[in-house]
Amino acid sequence: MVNKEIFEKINSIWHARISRKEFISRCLKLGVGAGASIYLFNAMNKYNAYAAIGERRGMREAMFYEPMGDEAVRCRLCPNNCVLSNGQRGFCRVREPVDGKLYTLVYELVCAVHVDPIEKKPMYHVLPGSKSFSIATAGCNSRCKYCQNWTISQRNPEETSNKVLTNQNLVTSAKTQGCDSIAYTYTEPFAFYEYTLEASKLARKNDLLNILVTGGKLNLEPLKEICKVAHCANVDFKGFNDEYLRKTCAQSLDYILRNIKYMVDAGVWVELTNLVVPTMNDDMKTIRAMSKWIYANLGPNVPLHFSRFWPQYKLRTLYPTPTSTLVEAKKTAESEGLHYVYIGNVPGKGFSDTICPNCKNTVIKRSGYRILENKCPGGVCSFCGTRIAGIWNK
Amino acid sequence: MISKNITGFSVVVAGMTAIISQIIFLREFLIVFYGNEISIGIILASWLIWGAAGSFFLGHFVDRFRNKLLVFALAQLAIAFILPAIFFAIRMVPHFLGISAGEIIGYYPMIRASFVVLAVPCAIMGFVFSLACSIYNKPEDPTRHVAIIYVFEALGALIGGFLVSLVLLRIMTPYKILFTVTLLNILSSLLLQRAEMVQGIKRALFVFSLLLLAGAFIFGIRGGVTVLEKESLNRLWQGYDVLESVDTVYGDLTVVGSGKQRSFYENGLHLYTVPDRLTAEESVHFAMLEAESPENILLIGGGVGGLLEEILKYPVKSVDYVELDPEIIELAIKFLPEEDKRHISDPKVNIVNADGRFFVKNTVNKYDCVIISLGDPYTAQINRFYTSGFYNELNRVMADDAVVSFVLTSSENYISKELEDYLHSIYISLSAVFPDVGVVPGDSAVFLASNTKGLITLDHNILSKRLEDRGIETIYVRDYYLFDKLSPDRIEYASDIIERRDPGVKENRDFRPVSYFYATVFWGSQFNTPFLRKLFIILRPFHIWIAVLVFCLFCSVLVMMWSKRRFERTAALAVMTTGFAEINFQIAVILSFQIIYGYVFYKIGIIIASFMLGLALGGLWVSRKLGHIRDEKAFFRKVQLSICVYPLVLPACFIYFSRSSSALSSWVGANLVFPLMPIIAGFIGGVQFPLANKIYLGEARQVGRVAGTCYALDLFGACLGSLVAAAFIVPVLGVFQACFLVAIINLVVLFLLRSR
Repeated sequence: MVNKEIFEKINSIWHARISRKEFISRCLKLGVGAGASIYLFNAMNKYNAYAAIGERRGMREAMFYEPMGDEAVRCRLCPNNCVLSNGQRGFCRVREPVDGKLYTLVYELVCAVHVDPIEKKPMYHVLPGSKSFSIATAGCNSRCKYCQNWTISQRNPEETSNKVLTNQNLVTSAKTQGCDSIAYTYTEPFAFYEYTLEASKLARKNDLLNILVTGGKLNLEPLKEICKVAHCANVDFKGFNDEYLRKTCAQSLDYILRNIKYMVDAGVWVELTNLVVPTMNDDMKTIRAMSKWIYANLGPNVPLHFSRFWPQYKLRTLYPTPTSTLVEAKKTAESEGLHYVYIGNVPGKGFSDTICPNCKNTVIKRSGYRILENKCPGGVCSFCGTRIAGIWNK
Repeated sequence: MISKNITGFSVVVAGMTAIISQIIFLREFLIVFYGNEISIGIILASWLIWGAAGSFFLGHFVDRFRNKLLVFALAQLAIAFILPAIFFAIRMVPHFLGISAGEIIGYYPMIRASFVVLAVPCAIMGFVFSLACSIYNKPEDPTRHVAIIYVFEALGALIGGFLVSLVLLRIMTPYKILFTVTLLNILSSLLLQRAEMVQGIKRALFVFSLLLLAGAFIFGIRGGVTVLEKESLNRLWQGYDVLESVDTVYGDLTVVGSGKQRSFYENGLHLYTVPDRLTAEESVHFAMLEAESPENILLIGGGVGGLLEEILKYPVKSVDYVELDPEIIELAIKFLPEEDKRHISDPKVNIVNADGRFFVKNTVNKYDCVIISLGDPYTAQINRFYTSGFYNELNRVMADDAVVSFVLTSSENYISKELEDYLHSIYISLSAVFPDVGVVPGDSAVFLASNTKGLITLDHNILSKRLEDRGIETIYVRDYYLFDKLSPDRIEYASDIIERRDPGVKENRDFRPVSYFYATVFWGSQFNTPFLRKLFIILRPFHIWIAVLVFCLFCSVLVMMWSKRRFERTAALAVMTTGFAEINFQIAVILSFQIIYGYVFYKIGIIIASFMLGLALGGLWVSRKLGHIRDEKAFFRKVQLSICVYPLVLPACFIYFSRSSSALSSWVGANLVFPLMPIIAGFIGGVQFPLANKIYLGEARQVGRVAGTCYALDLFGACLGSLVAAAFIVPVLGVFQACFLVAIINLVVLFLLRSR
């Protein structure tokens, strides 16, 4: 019954008899209305500060992809292996095919440039006390819910304000600022892979160390290529639990483990960081299993940093990690035989000091990102002469 | 006649049920969705839209039921059982959405969840209104009784609102309050059934309801409610170790434990964790080091989060610690270890349980250092502490060479446009009052300001030296940390962005509290929702005339479609714009009251209640008058005119009372004028609704259906209002322009009502 009424109503509107004059007048009104709305919409769009963002620089043909006709490509850079048709953006937000060719959109296009202490990466066993020229572009191939740099990592390059920084200028700036290394950090260097690779080649020629601060999500072929030019890497080993990695970071354990092992075997100096997130990856069983794996596959000399979770991004309402959990994690890892286990961001208790594995003396005393005492010049313990693993000379 | 009285009672119950469940559900939803104005808007909007849908669509059937009383009884029985289930469902929302502990929910899932969860109860409640109108129908004078139903409902809402916010929340848990409502609904249903002649299947239903009442009662007495409440609490806080969750009149407070660590949550948002030395040190030491020798300290919020301990490291004379909710301190004393809570009872500390602005307005003390620890301004309520108006008040209570400090969310490595808008608006508001402002960069930005130019320094050498000279021991805020945090490179990066002039960003003023809009946009940028992002970008330079133009376009389309009964339909449209207007009035009055007099819980309650009272009075008055009005159309135009004039009077009142400082005028304002303003607004709405109903009904006899349509339009207008008023119109346009906008919109409707 109701339907019938509605139907009749619509019918009456549809078949209403109106004069030609009224018809024209209605059409005119509608036209004026529509025109005004469109004009208004455009005017408002023009009058906003966000409009400046959105240009396209930094395009360069990407590496590691297979064309699939003129319409689509398969990206082979990272394990996402995105199949993309023209104009479609990759999961990493920075790769897009145009006319059957894949392009990176952030080549030499940075959105964050800072000079940081190398300890902040964190790299504790590489040129302690030196400065590192740190750069990032927009985009990331992971989706960590606690990302500290989500304002760039979870944004497309059109949504950030960027500037061009050529490889040559990058190297020159790093040199003039007195840095000994370039860190590809904040977001994911493997997402801006081509930039990382080319800049690293040039930096290597100019006696600068290349530091990759990465989540480790990459396919093997590109990894082999980049390991030829990178000196060291801090891999964010987010957890030793596949389900957690999938749910919280959009990663998977198998390729993370494979890549860490490959990097160590290829002679890249690797330090690992594990962010301990309360209620998610803070149980000691998993931490013990992880430490066991590190010991068995990478050896005892790979430094492991436990860092404190801080309410950030989507996990904004989770509480910070209790210090006691971090201390327990450190003890657990050490009991599995790892030599260099650190806790970041809990100062004053010696948790970030380097202890000689042989004589148990403190060889590097740190406070925050500052070196208070260095008793192992050239990487040799000045108490017992044991060699401390790491890169100590340029 | 008996049946009429009972229907009246049942409608009062329905009104009570609606308001109480709305208050309780809103509170529960806010824990899940974190209270910013958009999430409040979304919840209210889904509430109202389902109410509208219920009264409109189900209202279409109402006039066809043969035994309406029985349907009413069944509906109330249904509500009785749905409400507790919905409560449970709300707490299950994180579980349904697959949200892990501590994860924030995006706007789309928020909309989905609240629309799904509130569908059934709100639709039934809306339906009940049309039904009641139809039951009460007397052939000779149908619309008068719609007015009476409207009055009864408003009366129920008035009683319910009063009861729940002033009495029940203090003595009962939310689930128990809801359970009481359940019992009340079963009782009302029983009375309705009794009014009918009970026989056959109806008798069986009656007995069944009686048994249900008894069963529910026994269930309640035997502690079943407590068990359910606990179960639902565990679902809500899945993954956490909840030590205690209490509901105060201000909201929900929850304490979570992890080892020896204690975390405090207010309405689902993380307040502070103890021990969390980094946050406490950052909040306190910058401010204390900038001041020469701070002796008298004002701390607004955060005291139990370890800030008192840090302040007391200095040789201070007194600390006035202002905390709105006394329960926070109770909980701290109950759950914190001895070493963390002894500072709360330090003789130098003077705890004041009051609103911070209320305190600043009324104190005669002078302070060397003011530390505000209230978190980011995501709501209009918190935003009051970040306006230039507040800084002016603060300036009055500051001694010479004094320092103000607070910490806001920022980003160390990259400040996005959304974050820039937000931080910059706070920066210019602070600079509008204080000659010296500095910002310590980092993932949390520490804002520092002084009433003396040249006092604030960000030189890490100077600050480190002061720390040493004064003998303060800290873990984080010390030489090595200051060196890194205050590196020239980082300071330059942040100040370049935060302090750069941007004419598109507005100052955060009392009567144009724009920063909470920026903060909400920033919050929204955490979710990958390009549509919303674009929407916000378009809304940012929003202008009042744009809104007027859009509304005019909308009206012209409507008028084009209407070929007959134009006046009647416009009257119905007027009901909608009034629904929209009333929400704006409420927000404007409540916000202005809080700005001018400070936040006092029960006074805000009175403002809301007096609106309901006005509604009821208006309805009552017009229901007596309805038969005697000679020219209804002319009368309706007058009513419509009053809605155009009222919002123009409001700003005048606000300006007058915010400027006058005499004790008499402020007493008159707080106790007479402000409670009176909503009564007038309510009165106009109360008069207009039944009148519009009568006009729209015309010669037709489908009382329930027409009443349902009008009610739906009223709710729909209110729904639009709640979506945009607090979240967007008031902060971006400001209170005055919002009032002006409402006046113009209603003027357009008045124009359409003109006689031909």
